[in-house]
Amino acid sequence: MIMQMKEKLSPFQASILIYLIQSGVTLFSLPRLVAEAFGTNGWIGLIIISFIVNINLVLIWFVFKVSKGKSMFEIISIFPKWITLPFSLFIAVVWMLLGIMVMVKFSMILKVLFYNNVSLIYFLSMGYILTYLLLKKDLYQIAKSTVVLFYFTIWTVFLLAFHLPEFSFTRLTPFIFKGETDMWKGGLSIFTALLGYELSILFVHMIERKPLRSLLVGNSITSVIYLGVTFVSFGFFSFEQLLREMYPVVTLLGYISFPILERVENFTFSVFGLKVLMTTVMYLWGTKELIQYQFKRIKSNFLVMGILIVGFSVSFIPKVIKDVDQWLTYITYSATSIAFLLPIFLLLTILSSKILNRKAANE
Amino acid sequence: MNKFILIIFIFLVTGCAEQRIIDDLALINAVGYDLSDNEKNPLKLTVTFPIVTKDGKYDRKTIMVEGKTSKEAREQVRFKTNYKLESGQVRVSLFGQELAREGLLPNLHSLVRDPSIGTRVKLALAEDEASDVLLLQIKNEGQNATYLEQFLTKLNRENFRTNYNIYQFLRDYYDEGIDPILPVFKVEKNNIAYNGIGLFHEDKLIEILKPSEAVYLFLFREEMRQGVFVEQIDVGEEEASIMLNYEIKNHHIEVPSTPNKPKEASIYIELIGDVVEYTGKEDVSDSKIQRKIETIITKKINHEGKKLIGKLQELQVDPLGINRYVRNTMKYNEWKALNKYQSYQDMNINVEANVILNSSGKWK
Amino acid sequence: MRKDRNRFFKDIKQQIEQPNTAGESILQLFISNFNISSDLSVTEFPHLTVKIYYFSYLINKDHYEQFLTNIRNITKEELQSFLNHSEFNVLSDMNSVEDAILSGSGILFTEKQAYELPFKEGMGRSITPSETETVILGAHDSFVESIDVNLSLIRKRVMSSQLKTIKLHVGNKAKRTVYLLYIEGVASKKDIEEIKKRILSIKNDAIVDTNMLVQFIDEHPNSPFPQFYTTERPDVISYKLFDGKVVGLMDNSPFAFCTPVSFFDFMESMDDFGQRWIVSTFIKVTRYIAILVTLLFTALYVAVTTYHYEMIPQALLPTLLESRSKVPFPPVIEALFLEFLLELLREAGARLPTKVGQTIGIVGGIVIGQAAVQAGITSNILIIVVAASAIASFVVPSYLLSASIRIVRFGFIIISGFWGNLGIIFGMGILIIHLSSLTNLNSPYLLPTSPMFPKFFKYSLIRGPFKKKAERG
Repeated sequence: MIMQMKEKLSPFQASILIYLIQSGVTLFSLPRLVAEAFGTNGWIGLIIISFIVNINLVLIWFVFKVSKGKSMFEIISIFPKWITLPFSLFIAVVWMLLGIMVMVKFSMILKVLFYNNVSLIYFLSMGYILTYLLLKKDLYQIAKSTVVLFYFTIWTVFLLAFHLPEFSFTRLTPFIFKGETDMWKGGLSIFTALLGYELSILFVHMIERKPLRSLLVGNSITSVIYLGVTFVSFGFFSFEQLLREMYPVVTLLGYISFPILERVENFTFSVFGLKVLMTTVMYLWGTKELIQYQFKRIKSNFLVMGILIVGFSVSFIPKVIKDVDQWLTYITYSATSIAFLLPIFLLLTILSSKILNRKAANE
Repeated sequence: MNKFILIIFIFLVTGCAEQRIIDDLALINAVGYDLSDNEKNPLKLTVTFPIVTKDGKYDRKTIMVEGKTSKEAREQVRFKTNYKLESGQVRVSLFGQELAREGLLPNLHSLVRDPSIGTRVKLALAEDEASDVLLLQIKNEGQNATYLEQFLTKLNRENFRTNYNIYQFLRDYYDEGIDPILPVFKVEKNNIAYNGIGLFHEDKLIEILKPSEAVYLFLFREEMRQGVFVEQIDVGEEEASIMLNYEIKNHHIEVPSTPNKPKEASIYIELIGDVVEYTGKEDVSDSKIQRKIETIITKKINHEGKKLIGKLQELQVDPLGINRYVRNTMKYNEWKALNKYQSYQDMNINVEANVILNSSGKWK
Repeated sequence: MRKDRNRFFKDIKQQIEQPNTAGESILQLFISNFNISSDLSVTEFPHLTVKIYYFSYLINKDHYEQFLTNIRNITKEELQSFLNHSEFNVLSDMNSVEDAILSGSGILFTEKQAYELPFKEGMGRSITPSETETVILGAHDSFVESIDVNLSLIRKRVMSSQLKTIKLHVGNKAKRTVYLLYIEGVASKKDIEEIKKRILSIKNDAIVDTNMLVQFIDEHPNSPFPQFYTTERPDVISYKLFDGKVVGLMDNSPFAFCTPVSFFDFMESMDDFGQRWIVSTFIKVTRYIAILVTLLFTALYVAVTTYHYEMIPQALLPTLLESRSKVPFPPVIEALFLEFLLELLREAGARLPTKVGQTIGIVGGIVIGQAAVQAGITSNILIIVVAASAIASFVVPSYLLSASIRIVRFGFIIISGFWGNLGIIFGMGILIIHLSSLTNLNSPYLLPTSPMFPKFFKYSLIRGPFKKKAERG
């Protein structure tokens, strides 16, 4: 029984990685956001948004294919460092802030719901300790932990079965997208729930084989889970009730009761924390890769400690959930634009360099 | 080496979360809300929680306070006990009739906003005052809260389907197509007994149905798949009593989409029953007699059902959820513009039952 | 005795550089060095100028007597041809003389040469069933301390010319023999080379057992989890050999180690292969559940009673409240106390001589448990919880891993006493990250779950049905 170990990501690992990055803190309020954004039967809108993400993933794969397997850094090495500096710094800062704010938001929700007397610093410290343990390794090692974490957290999906007795199709109402909807802004905030896939631009070249399929599968896992939860919520809660529930998924979890144990929402919420952890770790890893590319001389360990210290200090700036939400709105807008523009930019670079090369060859 | 530093750091960093060790807690298991006569403090709050006495026996304690709102009264209760109050184990929440007639929503909102209270808290009404129900000390029967909760679970299992928890109540309250209902408890002598169903118009209690009338309500609610049907029927010259264990095979509410008002609705149910008791003289196993009895029961169900539904329409309560089916036939703007209760009142609702007797039990 | 030997080795070290050509000078060296040891015997034949040195308890007396009768009647002229015709090795330097005599041969010194008389006594324990690893359906023999017997047990099971052995010596002055075994073509050459390199680089002399040896050659010495699989059973070793693993034997140790291993190897027992696959899959799944139970059960009790009272179902509440009402300590202290007591009991039971050890079991289980509840130090639900997790910890087939898990369990209890459910998840996170990063010989600890090789799930996570076709060449 010999198993070959290569320093590449298997496609399954990459899919799981994408699923874990995407699945984060927005899941808890997702059904409400969908109801606010799209109105009744809003889960259909979720399908549309997932489709848009798929398009973006195809773009990223396209970059990989057209460049014939080069990593992103190889592609942008055409430009001198001082040109790429402002852009990579911007992207690095956006990604770092996103990773940190996601963890801060999760800690705040944790505090509000379950541990109101504990100061935030403890949650954040625990989160940063785990982040540090993962960040100091390279991607391959991180991917190994992610597979195990995936198995550890995937069983929560099956808990949805408990809600089926209370599910009713008539509650879905025959109206589609009615009610006070806010399609564009609301749709954008739902899009950010699926954000995270753009980090795949950094590791798409490390996927062993069938990279496109692996990326799409990863997004599909997330989308299917989101869709399942949203669909069940729409049939479980009545529409107006859904608009008023702050965290419908937490209520769903709280509704489950086993004969030996009840109110497991506490436990499952903490298990979700591991998924949020992966989101933070991967975004910080993206930051680390970018900064390392720009400043090759910094040692990896210092860089990791530096990022964590900066992150730690930044996490105290927002004091209440409202502040964090505001930060997150701006950051996610930037991250969304990066997600779309970066692969386009890389494509243009490759194509133009190809054209230039051909010209040079012809002369 | 790195790992050791990390572990030490972990231990330094972990402070204590706030401990809630169960022996120091008063784990409230039931709350009761009433209207009090006091003008400054209109809400009467009763809480009951278990304690362990000096002898190690499991006993309970009940505290009653008057306050302005539910949480404010809760704060007052805090001053009356040496244990730390925690609401996480609340099982049942009772509302007095007067309070229910004024509207349950404010208290429900305070229940649902609290993250420590789960959504599976069962709700019920008290015929007079909730505090009476909770203060009653039944010897040897342990906790009232567990009694009530068990009672409600039993009712649910016996297919009275009156089990309503916070989530279900709010869900049906916010759904414009259906109104919630709650069971009613009353104190009699030394016992707490179930005494009917409370009908709600939005969140206000309108009327309490007696258990005998409530039976017909359950026939038409679609969650009831099985049940027991006891009635007096006229067979020939005399009245006989018949009891059936029935199973609903088919339950259908149809609202044909007619563009004109008033709307029409038809409720179809098909029952298959096994005779368990029959006091008449006829031979119930004879198929001719069975058919006769079937027709009689069908007629009775149709008649009583129509009566009940007429009453519901008059009171403008919709526990059967007929408006949901109306919603399915309309466009969104129409639905928004409709005056739901008015149209419900004007509706023409038919009841069509079909009773089929399966067997006559073990005896011919 | 040991100090004598150490001094002896130091002296030998000094002599090693001197060239030894003539047998006579070797003899001088030999006498001067070994003179300190009083357990060295000598037989002299002055008319032949032959001296035979040996450790009398290491040599096989019968063979030696036979040899002596042959020698007695030889004249001096015939001696040389006799020795030339015989198959005795010529030893040309002090190192080999020292090796030979310490391993039980006798040394025959003539004027010119030193010869080795390989009359080793195979003394030692006879083959008895293993006491630490018992199996219901399987062979019952286990390794003994003599490396030759162990090798024979393995060779009998792996009757293949592809089974190769490498003999290595470990240590500087006191040389311990280590044999590396592998089946050529199945084991990876890189693994063999790497293990060889690591063993040869050990500088420590005081290694007495394989379990000690493997701690010198592992990559993560600070991890509580074992990275080499050691076992006393030859059937397990032969199975691992066929799997492509490299196996090591050390003399005077009944344990053999094999590598590279994954976490799931520690959860296997030879019983699984003897049973039908559905049955043994069920048993394997029970073992995984047992690991979860033993890690988390007590921690969950502590978390629920200290922080998350809302998780207690209604029916359990009266019992829990009543039992906790008598206890003056917070649940963490209670749990730690009881777990610690259990560890003391376990350790005491392992160290006591067998006759006294049985009473400890009865005393510990019944009396202390009951008495603790009645004295109000612990609650009876906690006793059940702790007992269940203790029993579950013994379900793990490998003693090494179950010991590691017991230690980790304490960590979980402490952290759940601080943080409740969040602490448990945090601890789980650290555990998973740590396990995922353990590797041995480039092989991750959590293979085949990470990285993913779903084909191999049916060998490690469950026991899949055996294919009727041959899978191993």
